[in-house]
Amino acid sequence: MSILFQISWRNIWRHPARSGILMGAIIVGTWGGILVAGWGNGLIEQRVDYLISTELSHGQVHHPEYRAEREPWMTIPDAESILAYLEGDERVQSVSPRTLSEGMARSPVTTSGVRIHGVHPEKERATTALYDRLEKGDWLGDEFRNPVLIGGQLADKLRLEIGNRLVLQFQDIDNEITAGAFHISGIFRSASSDYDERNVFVKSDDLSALIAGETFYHEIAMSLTSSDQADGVIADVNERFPDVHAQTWHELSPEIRYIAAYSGTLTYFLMAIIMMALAFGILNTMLMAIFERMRELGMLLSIGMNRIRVFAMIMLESLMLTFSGALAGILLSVLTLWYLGDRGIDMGMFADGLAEFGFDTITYPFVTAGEFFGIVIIVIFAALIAAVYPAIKAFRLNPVEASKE
Amino acid sequence: MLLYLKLAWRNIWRNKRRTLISISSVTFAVLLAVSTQSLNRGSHDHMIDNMARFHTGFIQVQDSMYDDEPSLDHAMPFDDALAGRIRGSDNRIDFLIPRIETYALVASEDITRGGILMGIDPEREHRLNGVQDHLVEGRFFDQGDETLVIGERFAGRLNVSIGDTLVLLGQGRFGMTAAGKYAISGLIRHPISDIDNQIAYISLHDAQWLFSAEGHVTSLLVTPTQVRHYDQVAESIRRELGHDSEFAVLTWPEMMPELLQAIEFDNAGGHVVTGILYIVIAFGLFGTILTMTLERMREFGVLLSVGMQRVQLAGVVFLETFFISLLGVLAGFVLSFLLLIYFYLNPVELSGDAAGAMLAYGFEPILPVSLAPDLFYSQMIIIFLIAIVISLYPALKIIRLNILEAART
Repeated sequence: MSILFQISWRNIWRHPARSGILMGAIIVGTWGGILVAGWGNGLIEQRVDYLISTELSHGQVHHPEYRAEREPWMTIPDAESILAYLEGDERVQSVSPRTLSEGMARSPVTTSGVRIHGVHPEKERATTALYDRLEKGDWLGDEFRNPVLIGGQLADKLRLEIGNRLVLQFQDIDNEITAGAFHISGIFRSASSDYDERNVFVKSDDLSALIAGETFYHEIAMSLTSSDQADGVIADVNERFPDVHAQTWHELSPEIRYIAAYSGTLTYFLMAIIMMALAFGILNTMLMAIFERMRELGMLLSIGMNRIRVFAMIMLESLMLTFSGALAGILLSVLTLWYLGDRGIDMGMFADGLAEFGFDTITYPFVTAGEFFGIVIIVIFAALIAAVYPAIKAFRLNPVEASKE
Repeated sequence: MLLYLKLAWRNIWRNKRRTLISISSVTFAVLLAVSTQSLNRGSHDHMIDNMARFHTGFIQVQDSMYDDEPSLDHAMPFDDALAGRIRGSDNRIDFLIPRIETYALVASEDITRGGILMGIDPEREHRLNGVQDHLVEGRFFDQGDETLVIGERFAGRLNVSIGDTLVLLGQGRFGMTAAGKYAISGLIRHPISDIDNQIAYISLHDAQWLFSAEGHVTSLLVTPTQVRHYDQVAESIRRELGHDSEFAVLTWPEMMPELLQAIEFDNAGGHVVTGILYIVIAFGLFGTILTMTLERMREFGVLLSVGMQRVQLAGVVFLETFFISLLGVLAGFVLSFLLLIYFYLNPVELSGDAAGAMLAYGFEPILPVSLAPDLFYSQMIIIFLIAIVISLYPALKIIRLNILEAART
């Protein structure tokens, strides 16, 4: 057996160019497969993270009917103790209580329907990424009376600038129409122009004073130390406070699940295609190599090496090539992922339009340990299957004819 | 030149086995590249199709003021003459769907809620999005029979069921009061829960009467026979109606910019995957071509020894690989076309979480493929170019070949 090993090993290096190209194909296949998986993960996580950090946060608490009816009187009962409970939970990083209202934003030019979010400036800043998306001006501060943050899209539509006055009109707690004058302290721009047109942010004290004359909340958004904990924290809130309805980010927006699962499936199919390309490349190269070596193999058979040994020799060659190629491919992809996972890949390179939409164009690929081993196993499997056919060909050689070639 | 072509053509059939392996490498490369693109494009088309059918349609004709201020005051007059003009503007128009879409207060005996009110023609609407299949109870109305169909969840919010009477209250054209009583003839489960919460359908005729908008619609949806022609069809309609007329013609990217964003985003990722696929393919091809070159060293050495010029030999070998690439690409086209036709007719059905989530969203859980012709020729050209670049290798090798060593191998 050990002599077979030696022969195979030497055979590999007798043709450095051919073995090199085979190994190259395996290296590139492993590297490509891992990179595609990492890329898919990065894209999905980026999308989910984006929605969590700007729009949804990890979980939200409401009056049980608020999300369907959005009536001003559907406030969170006993919000103070829920806030105190959440702030005491070590899985919770920050909470942001909000007063909400559906209303109209009016400028001298035109009127637009908006959702008004009354927020606590420091707490909102700690909970969502809104602050990072400020394009112009400042956060809700003390510089103006009744400060408001509006989206870039709405500012364009209403033709308003920083410092301008904006009238917000909405229903008070008795369903009477009321209005207040606000001053634009900042303009934000998120990835969604639609979101930017339909959402404005004011201080919750200012808004609740106009709605009811006292502070109350319709929504508590929370940011957790990790999104995996959302289910646990939300279940605990629902159990402890039966009068409210708490939901995780994926309950709040089932579309996220849909997008993630769908992209995941698509990535899986693309991976399969890349693996097939790899297997076929290896198969063809191996097959060519065997035909090229007909004479040699025929000679080996003629001088008395038995068929099983020839078969084993070729399989051993393939095995050794595959393992060293896969190993090098893993090293290469670890290095690539390590580099890209840190720096990210700027997708602006591939699609000019993305930056204009306000998307974060940098994606950070990553691969879980399970995916990593899965891909390596697929590569090795593909390479071996590709090696079996040529080995069988060699097994069936007619020594007399083969040595004539 | 003809001689070289003949030589190259005969050469490739001198060793059929080798040639077939090389051709199959190229064929398979085309097959995989086309499949990747087709899957990507197909899933996007599927998404657009679903979204457009349940929301805005592919093309809408509206009053030019309606987009800025969606009020019934900016409804557009619609009659058979206009329908004829629009239909006649492009022969790729399949059918038209007139709608009145507005908000109204919907009141049951003791609960009043704001809702989306759609005045529709149920038959035509059904042709667009199969709306009648979502009916869970009762039936759809006939034109003008003063009944309505509402979302299941909306009915729950109003605490009503089939047979109950609802009062619709709203504002008609130019400040006219709109109020009417309608019996519930059916309950529908709209796939998008947000809409199910607040949707009510009445017949277009009833809506026009209720809102004092006789002969008017707020939007006219135009469905092209082939979805991908939406842009050209919209342009034909614009030309027919006049660019600066009182009509605006909007297409789905203008009406649903978010969707376009999501797709652009996905496409950027798709480019990276395709790039990696090309690298893997190039390596596979290179492996075959390189092995072929190594195998023929002796032959090359002999030919050069007997006096064939290096440039001539390199030219012949290049022609051989050119033929191989060409044949491979053509075979790849035929094969991928057959494969994709099969998957187009029998799409892969998804299962598990992806399928569950899609069903919840009202989409058919399949992985569709696209048969758009540009997919085929763009991938054929790219793979052909990759193959040609790789084919330069044996030619270069011949230029630099050491005759004595080569003849000995």
